[in-house]
Amino acid sequence: MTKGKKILFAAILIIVVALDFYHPGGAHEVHFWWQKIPGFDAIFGFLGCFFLMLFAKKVIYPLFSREEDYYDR
Amino acid sequence: MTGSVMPPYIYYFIGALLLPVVPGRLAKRALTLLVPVLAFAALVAVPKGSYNIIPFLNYHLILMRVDKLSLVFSYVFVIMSFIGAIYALHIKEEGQMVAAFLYVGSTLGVTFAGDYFTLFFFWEIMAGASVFLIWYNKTEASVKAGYRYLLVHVAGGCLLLAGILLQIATKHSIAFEPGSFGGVASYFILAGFIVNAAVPPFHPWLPDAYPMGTITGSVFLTAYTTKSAVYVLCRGFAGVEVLMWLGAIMAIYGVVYAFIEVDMRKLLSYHIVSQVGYMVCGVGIGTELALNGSAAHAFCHILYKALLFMACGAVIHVTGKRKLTELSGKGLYKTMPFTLAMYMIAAFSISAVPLFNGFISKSMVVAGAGEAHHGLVELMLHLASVGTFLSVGLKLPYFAWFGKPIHPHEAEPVMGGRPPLNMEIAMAIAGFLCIALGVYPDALYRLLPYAVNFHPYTYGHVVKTMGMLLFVLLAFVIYLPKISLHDRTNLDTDWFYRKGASLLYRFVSGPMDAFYRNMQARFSRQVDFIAFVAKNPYTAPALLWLGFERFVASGFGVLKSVPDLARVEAKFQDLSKKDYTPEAYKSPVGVGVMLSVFFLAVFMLIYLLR
Repeated sequence: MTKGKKILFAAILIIVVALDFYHPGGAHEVHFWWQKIPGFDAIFGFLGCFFLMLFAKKVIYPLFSREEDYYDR
Repeated sequence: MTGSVMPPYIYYFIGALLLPVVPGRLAKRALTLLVPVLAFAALVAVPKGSYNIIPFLNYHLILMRVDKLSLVFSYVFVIMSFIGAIYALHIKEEGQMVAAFLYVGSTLGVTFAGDYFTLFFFWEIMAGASVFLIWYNKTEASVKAGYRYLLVHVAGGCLLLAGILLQIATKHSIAFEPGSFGGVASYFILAGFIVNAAVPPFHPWLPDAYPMGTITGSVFLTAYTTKSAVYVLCRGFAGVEVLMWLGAIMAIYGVVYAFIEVDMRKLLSYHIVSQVGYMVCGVGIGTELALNGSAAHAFCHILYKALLFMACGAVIHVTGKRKLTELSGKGLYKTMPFTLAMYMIAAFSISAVPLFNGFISKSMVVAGAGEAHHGLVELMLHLASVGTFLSVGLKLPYFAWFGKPIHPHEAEPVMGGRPPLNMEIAMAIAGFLCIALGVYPDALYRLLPYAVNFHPYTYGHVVKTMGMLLFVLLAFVIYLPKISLHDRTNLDTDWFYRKGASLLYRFVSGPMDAFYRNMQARFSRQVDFIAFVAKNPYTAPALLWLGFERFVASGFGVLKSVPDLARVEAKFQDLSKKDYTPEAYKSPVGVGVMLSVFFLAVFMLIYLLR
């Protein structure tokens, strides 16, 4: 990625979180306390994505991965 | 409300019968496209109610139960069959299309079935017809995978049948009605249904078999089996809480396994498990919003999942490669941009990006979980959404169309090119529908079983969704240098029956077979002895006696060298050499006469003394 694209991407990320602080025409329907936290979904997406990638690669993959012809032998 | 109507599925069965006998490629193609059109016309015309009720034994078979729930699933099944038929138009062998028509027809049969007998009848045809879409791939691996697929579905069918028979025994009814959960019969029926819905741990048949199907056949496979299972769950088991948890677990299970897969269609297959998880979860929540969500998500899922399989199928058709390890770095974005665009429409749909159809259906299920105050379930579904965008929206397209070569030494030329025109048209239709429903959700909401009071395009919902997706993108970009692809087999619960089967085979061919041969040898020794003794009936009693004597003399078979034994043995051998010749035993005619006289005397005595 070029520097310009990086800055653009960062700007979009900041804007999308900032938009979550302001809710015109009433708040989003809230059922749980975490839905009131602005930017919760962004944090959840970021951390959740890392959790899934690491869980799959570091836990599931070493445990359950075998040679390609495992079932043919 | 009663009477008879033309069932839409009849057209598929007629089409399947006619297709092999219609002469000429053009007529075959016309018929292939005509069948879904006629079925759609029949579907639009059919009024709500129960029709085609046939008395059978003491029960009533209901061949057509038409209401909003069966209609919404039928519509998408028929639309999908049209798209799938266009996608397969270039295939020369009509057998695949015959199998596909039987498969679609029987799925519609399940959808309209008003009783368990009819349901079971079509349920079994579904399994038997769909396996040919795998076998037509004609590789050794697909034949084996097809057999495993068939065996799992036959086992699932047996569970269903057991449940139906138990219900008949306890309730004297074959009615397929909601709210029947509780009791052994319903457990068996539910088990039969969740095998087809690919609920863990009964799911591995799906990622095992679907990547092995033909390119065009797998497109059909993705749409029907699991979604008809969702339909029957919606119909019979709405609000069963265990389904909510199973659904939420399978939504995450699918995305975790998908992330470590490199076979494109296998990766997407794990995402079927994940997406069906949303639907099963919605059924388990059981509120009107959640059930609407399940039905809507099934509708949208069929369209975008078929499009994902069609796009990856087009890549496989053109390049002959099905793994990301082989495609990465080949620069397909330059040679197959249209396919990439269509893939991304479907990828954005499955990831629930606003303006694509997944956004308007997946959010209904998630909102259903929120409305019913299941916070953990809602978060689990959110996590599955994260994983969906990660694997389907980012990882797969990055490595398939862009990426760096995994094996740099394999200096293969850039592959690629355009897939057949009919494939592109089919993809375009599916892509159009994905966007159309995303932009205008009311078209779908009007078809749903319950009245819809749900608005996906609120400011908060759109902003929160975009925030989540963009930060997933950020995480992916950060982690990308560390993502490595490997050609490996990932063990799943099919390990139990794949390894279990070879263990069973080894047990049967080893110890069981040895036991059998041992027993056979022992029995044939006895038979040998009888045959040996019976050679000469006259010496037989004496031989038997000598045999017994020999047995006793040898200390019941333990001792080997006893003087007595040698004597008996010599006598035995001597006697056994005496062959039977009629001449040698002619003389004692008197023996017969004497025996007759003796027995007559005995009988006379008995007669007189009574």
